[in-house]
Amino acid sequence: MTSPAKRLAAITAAMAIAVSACSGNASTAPEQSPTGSSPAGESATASQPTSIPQGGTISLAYASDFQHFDPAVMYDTVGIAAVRLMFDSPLTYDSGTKLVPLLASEMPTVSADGKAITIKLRSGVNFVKEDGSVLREMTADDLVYSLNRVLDPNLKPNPSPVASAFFSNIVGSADVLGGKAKTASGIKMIDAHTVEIDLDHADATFMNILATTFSAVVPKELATEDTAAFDLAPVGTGPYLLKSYTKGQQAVFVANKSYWQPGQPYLDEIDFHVGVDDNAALQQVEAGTLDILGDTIPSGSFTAVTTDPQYADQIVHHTTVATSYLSMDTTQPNDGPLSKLAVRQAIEEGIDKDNILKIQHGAGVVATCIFPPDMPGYDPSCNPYTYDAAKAKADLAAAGYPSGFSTTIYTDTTDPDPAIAAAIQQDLAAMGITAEIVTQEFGTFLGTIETPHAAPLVFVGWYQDYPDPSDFIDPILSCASAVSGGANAAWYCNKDVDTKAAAARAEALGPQRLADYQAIQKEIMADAPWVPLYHQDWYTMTSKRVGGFQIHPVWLYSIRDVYIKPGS
Amino acid sequence: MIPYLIRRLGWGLVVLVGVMLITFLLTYVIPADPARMIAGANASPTDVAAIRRSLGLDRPFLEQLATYVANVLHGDFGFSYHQHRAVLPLLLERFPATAQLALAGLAIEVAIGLPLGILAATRRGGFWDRGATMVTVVLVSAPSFWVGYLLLEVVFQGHQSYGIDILPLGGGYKPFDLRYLFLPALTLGFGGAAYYNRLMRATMLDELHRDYVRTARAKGLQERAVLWRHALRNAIGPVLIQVGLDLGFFLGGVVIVEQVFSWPGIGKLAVDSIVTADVPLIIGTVLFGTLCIVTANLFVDILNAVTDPRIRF
Repeated sequence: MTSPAKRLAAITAAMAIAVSACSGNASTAPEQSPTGSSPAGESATASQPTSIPQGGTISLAYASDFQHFDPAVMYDTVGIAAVRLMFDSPLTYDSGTKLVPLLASEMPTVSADGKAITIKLRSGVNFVKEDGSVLREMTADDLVYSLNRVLDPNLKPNPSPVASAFFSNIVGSADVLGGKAKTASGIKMIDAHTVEIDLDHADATFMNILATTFSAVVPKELATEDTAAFDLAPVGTGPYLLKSYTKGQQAVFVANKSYWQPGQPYLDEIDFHVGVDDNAALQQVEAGTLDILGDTIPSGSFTAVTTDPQYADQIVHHTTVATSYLSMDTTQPNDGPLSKLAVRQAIEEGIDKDNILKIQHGAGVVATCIFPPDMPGYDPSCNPYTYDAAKAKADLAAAGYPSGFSTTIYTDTTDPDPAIAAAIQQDLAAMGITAEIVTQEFGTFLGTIETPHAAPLVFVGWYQDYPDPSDFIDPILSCASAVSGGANAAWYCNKDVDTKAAAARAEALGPQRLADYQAIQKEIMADAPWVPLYHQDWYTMTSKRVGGFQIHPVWLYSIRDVYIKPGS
Repeated sequence: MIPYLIRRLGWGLVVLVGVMLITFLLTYVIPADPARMIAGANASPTDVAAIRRSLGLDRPFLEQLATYVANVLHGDFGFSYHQHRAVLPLLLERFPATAQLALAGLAIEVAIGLPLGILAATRRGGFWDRGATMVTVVLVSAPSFWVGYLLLEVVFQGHQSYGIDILPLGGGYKPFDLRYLFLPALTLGFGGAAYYNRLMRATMLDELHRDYVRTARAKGLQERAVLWRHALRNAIGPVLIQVGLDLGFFLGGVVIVEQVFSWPGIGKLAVDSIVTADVPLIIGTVLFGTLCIVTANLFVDILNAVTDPRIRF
């Protein structure tokens, strides 16, 4: 697993929500895939009227610009909102975290050994050019091409950032990644609408990979190795088409009248304004001249806007599938204090999480364990440590540190992370621990985390790559990740946990698997590698006329589900 | 001397009180309800009303003002809405970072500016003078946010292209670590160096044209002695005054440089407080900055009065 993928994955509490990439590489055993029963419904959100009104134009504004429109390389928050307008992947999620088919006509079937995945694609799905004309029908060959393209090391100007992290489990992918072959032997076209993917080892999470935008199907003749060219003229099977894009200003998407899903798209036009200051954008949403605030509600206006009764039905928020935590170096060299379980457990009791959440305007929920809400396996009853400053101090003394010790907290420079580190510093001081704060630019900070034992305490966050509990264990709390270049900030390695996690990953989906992950979570928390702090809420605001908008646990913004409310 | 001191102190106080009044008015101008900000988004109206009462926000304006002034005089600068802590400890916590940057920046200003200024004055019209003038114009014209980002970019490219890994990328802070301090201090120093160069050149030229210099030269004194022992000693006065004033200014917070390098000092705190509409913290940082400047002014005036016999009260 390469470090750039991980770098983007280990995001901070400031939550630059990205479609971050990383994947565990624990070997897995056969697992039956879930069978999606709901209609290929990206549009199947909870709060929709029976007949969704069609037509109209909505506008969004973001502070940052698009990086890419090519799904093979697109890797950012703004980009994902746009790419999901223009492209479809074989699978997607319902309004929650359940996998459902999209371009696939049904949920893929998995062989008994879990290594062969057969995807049946819909017929009658067309690639549509930006002028609205049909290019041709999509076939299985296009999916084969698209997956091989993501693995292609010769993509220009840069290869896909997730190729090795997400797709290296495919048989023959190493040859493509190494430039020895153009196509992976494990990606096979069976017939015009059927593709088989062979894996080196069974892995249930590959279904989640098939739902990422990296698995979106692109037309062979237009999407070449030159991603920059495809960025300028992206063509897919999605409900909207890119009509125009002026860098640094705006991108205009128009309805794809030949879209394969009946009743979609809902809107005539979607205008993305980029490079707009978040405070200015908020004012426009308040005034009703802008429909959706792309970024979160700016800190300075947060309380005023979220408590104003006139905006009550315009504020949209949801807890992100992320956990912000204070990691402690469980294997601190030279018999360091943090290497002692009793010391770490005392610190678990000494951090006032409610106070820390206040610095975030209370936008979120206090974290008591590892898995966040919405993550399958989330266990609200998991709460092994409670805040008690006096007990924490006493326990620290009992652990052999009656007068505390000196240590260092590392965090990044993005607000409000330094302020949260300062709050942690205060709590530690109350226990007698003197902590110095070091703030570093995010890239440097990740370098520090990845350097063995460079940072005794780290305030950082982890955002899901995909909704599977393995994603919160394998990349950040496994022995394999406790290596130089790994993202295991606590340098935590418990062989027993590793064995159980590998077994759980191999299990068939279902309640037993989740129960096993909950048991693993409890075992890890007993070792106290982290003080889980909070799960942050994403808060944004829409105009009164926007319907069908929700903060999606995976996509964040699913603009293809948005429509204009009747009568507005 | 004593009446002069009292007068100066009095004016310093007037400035402080004036700033205090203006900043206090901010609470009424900024569209943020302090009680609501403290209570948080999820608090009930009853809780908000209770906080409003406990803060005395329901009392008449003048009464609130009086309470505020009394609190400030007792060292109580209020309570940060956003960070949920008292303002004064927050300021004091950030002060060491700003002090490090201020001293280092000042040292670089002086280390670059003075030699260039002396060189330019003694070789007036020559290569060094023109060169120094040119450098000065460039440095004065370059805004510090631009210089800061440029330096960060140079370090970044050095790292990406040549693997040079001496300075931290993208700024940041580690207490008393020179690697972190170097770039912010250099950025701060560059702008000021140009100013010191000009000042030093002007005062030095002024002195070099005076009669005592001509007399010294006529006596056959070596040029080095004329420069260093006589002219520079007299020319350095205004420069020292400037150093004192700058120090006061910097200690109050170096807003732009701290922001560019994510340097957690008073200046960054001021920016953060404005971004989050954290009124008590805005007032606190402004008052703290004013206090630093007023103190520095006072200190420099006194020093000047004591050391320069030409000054009469």
